[in-house]
Amino acid sequence: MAPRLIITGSTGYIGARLAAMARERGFDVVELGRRPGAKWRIGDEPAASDLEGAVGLVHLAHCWATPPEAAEEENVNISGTLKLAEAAKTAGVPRFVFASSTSSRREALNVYGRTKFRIEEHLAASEAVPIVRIARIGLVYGGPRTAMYGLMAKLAALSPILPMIGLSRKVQPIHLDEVAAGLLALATGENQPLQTFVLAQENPISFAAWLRILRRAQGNGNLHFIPVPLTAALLACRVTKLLPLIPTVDPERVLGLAGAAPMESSESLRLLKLNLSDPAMVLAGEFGQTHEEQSRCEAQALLRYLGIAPTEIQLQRLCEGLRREGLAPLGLSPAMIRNPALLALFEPPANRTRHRLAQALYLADLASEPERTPGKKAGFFGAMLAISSDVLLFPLRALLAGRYR
Amino acid sequence: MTEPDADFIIIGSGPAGVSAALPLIAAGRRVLMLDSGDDAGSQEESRSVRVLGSNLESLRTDDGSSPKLQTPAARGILEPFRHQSGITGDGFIPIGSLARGGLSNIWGAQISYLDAEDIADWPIDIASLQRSYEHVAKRIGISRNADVTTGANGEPVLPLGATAAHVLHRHQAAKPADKSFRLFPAVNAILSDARSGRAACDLRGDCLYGCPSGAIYNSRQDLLPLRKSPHFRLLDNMRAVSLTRNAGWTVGTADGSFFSAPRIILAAGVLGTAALLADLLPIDEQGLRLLNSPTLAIPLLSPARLLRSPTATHSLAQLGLSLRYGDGASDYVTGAIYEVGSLPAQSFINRMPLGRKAGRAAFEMIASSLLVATIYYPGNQSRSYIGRDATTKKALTIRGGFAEGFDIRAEALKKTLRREWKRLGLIQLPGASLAEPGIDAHFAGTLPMGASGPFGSSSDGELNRHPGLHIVDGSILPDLSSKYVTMTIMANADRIAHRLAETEANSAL
Repeated sequence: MAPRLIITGSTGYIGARLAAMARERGFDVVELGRRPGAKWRIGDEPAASDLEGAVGLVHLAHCWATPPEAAEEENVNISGTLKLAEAAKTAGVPRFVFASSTSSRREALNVYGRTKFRIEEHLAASEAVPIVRIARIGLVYGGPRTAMYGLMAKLAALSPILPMIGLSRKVQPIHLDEVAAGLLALATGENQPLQTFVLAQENPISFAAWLRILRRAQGNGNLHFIPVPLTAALLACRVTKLLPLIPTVDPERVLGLAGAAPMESSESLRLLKLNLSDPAMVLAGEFGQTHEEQSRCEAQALLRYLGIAPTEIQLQRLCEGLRREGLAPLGLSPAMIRNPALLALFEPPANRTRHRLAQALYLADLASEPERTPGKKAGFFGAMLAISSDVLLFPLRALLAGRYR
Repeated sequence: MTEPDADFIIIGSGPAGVSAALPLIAAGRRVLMLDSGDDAGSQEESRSVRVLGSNLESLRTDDGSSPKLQTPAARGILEPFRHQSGITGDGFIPIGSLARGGLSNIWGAQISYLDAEDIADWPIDIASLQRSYEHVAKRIGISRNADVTTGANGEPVLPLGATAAHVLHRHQAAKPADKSFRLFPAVNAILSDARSGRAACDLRGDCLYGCPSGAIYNSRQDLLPLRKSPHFRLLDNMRAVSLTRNAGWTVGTADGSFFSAPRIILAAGVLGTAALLADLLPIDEQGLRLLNSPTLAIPLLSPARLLRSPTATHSLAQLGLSLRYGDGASDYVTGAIYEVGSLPAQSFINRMPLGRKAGRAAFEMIASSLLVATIYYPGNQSRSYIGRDATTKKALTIRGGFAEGFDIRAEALKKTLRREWKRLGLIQLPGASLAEPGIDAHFAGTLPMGASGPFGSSSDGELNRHPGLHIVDGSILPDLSSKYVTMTIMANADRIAHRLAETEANSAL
């Protein structure tokens, strides 16, 4: 029978990858937590039947809705974790891995860091000590662009100049796959010493350097910063809460960036046999893949705009042609890709051969040429509509065409 | 001298080369043909490869030349010559080919015959040329575009495009005041009936991308029967680079090989032949006179045919025309009329001030009523010279230009043409353009038959002062009429080869 592994928070950014990896390696994964029909939420007493017979438990779940400085008993993150660890001990689970953070310290600026620290302290004093392993996790990147990582990737790609706090703060990135591998090793490996593990790059880099890596990996140039004082940033966060119609920024995220000392990770990485890869290299690969997806979507939009239902061969041809001419990706907006008809607002005349969009449409037209049936004619009214809307839209297009030049 | 490799070495596998080889082989002479191309680029290609190129060459920005020269097939044929021939242009686009079959790979396949008046200055009689026209016509397969509604009268015909047919009817209904303008169904080297190794034209209109069925004549096709003969040998990838005279002649090739024969037949194309002879001729700074036909392209709209459905036809010339527009001896032009509906759409859309989507809609709506006339002037309206810096012996450069007074005559022509278009119910659209000299690839007259001096040749194409060195390509035509020239080059090569076959191969030794 496959060994059982329990994971809480298995739908989150790290949890999902960990669950997938564990299943790949032959574990029978039990997911505790936010799932349709789930029996358990953080803070609940877990059913012994869920825990018995498992080789390990990885506790990733964290409740963000808890009042910040609530007392221990009322803080569901603290009391819930303790409850879970003790129940695991009682049920005979040999390893309980608590996912903490490199921001975990008594005086951390953000509530998250302080909470993680308090949980660590309580676990150290609990009955579950013999089975508890603490994993302090660095700045996780890679994989799906969600959570904090998604926000940073988006920010870095936003503009070449960025107002930003905590630029000199040292961060220790680690790839999602490496975190998952580390947690899995902790939860299932025999003879791991009872200590706090640090899952993070050995050599910290500045937050500014990290954002530059994220920007370059996405095929953009350098990134310049306007340093923003912490107080100003927090004020801005409060303002976002007051103003309607703009997204609010949680001050918690800002504070999380604001300052922490790096942690020594080499011993942990050696014990867990983790050889961390260079983030710049990994990201270049991951985003490169996305470039291809982006140009493929664009190629599809260009063909559809021209009234062609693209076939696989036409798409391949067009992608190849766009790549050779240095036109891929063109940078079409997602709305344009979803609704190619919008291209009509931006399309320059076909004789503007220096225009990138005009060139791309020329290639799209050619790419479909071999499959075109000769002598096939569009209806008269359709053609008149296309021509007259082209003429009517001309002033608007003259204004907007600059966008994809 | 060591044993010669053959009785004749023919340099070049284009229309002139094969036309010279066939009569010699038939007379039992041993022929060695040196070809700078090879058998690569077979006809077994998908439409996708023909249209876009095996390496997607076609997905390049439009360079503005004619659709015929933009296709991947044409690029593959022309570019090696551009890179390797060492011939550059100055106001002139040098066009040549190092591929098997030479320029016949992209030849427009239109057929014209010269008459006694056309060759009045040639040192030959019209009867001998006509005999050779017949030999060539029988060999390559010729069809006339005919109006299918009027019925065929026994000779091979291909359907005439509906718009071309409409214009031809108008012409016949409203006769011109004088006989200065003639409009007639074009005659092309396209098969309407299959024959050995070649299928009949399937009317798919892919002509410009290289005819997949082999219906359009290409001199590659003539190499098949030649290679079956024990007297014929064809060597691939042998680009001739030098000619040396000893007891006979020795040809040196780019890979360092040497071949010798008592007689050499140059069929490398006018520019290729000039490059090969550059060291034997006293080309000074004035240079070698080169005749080429100035070419005018005119877009025309037939309002009566607007919104009609296009008909299936080939995309080569539909109609031929000839027009005398003045009293001067060279105040005449000939031309060909193409149906735009059967040509690649992109070249036209690229010139529209509309978006591509609307451009295509507009094109599809009016293409079937559009025609393009290409008008050719006689070669004496050009002033082009092949030159070389005598001191540095640098590679050849061709300077292009037009004859004095050309612009004035062009105005007279435009006026006459406008009158004729009106009579035919056609509207001349803006965008008529005179091509840069050379782009038409109608070259001739560098080493004319019957001329004296170092640049002349005999009626057998034998270069003056260089016995045993015969030229059979367009170089030796004494003048270049405005009529399509390939058929005449082939017939003249056939004529010369028959004459050479009569002489003893060893007489030059």
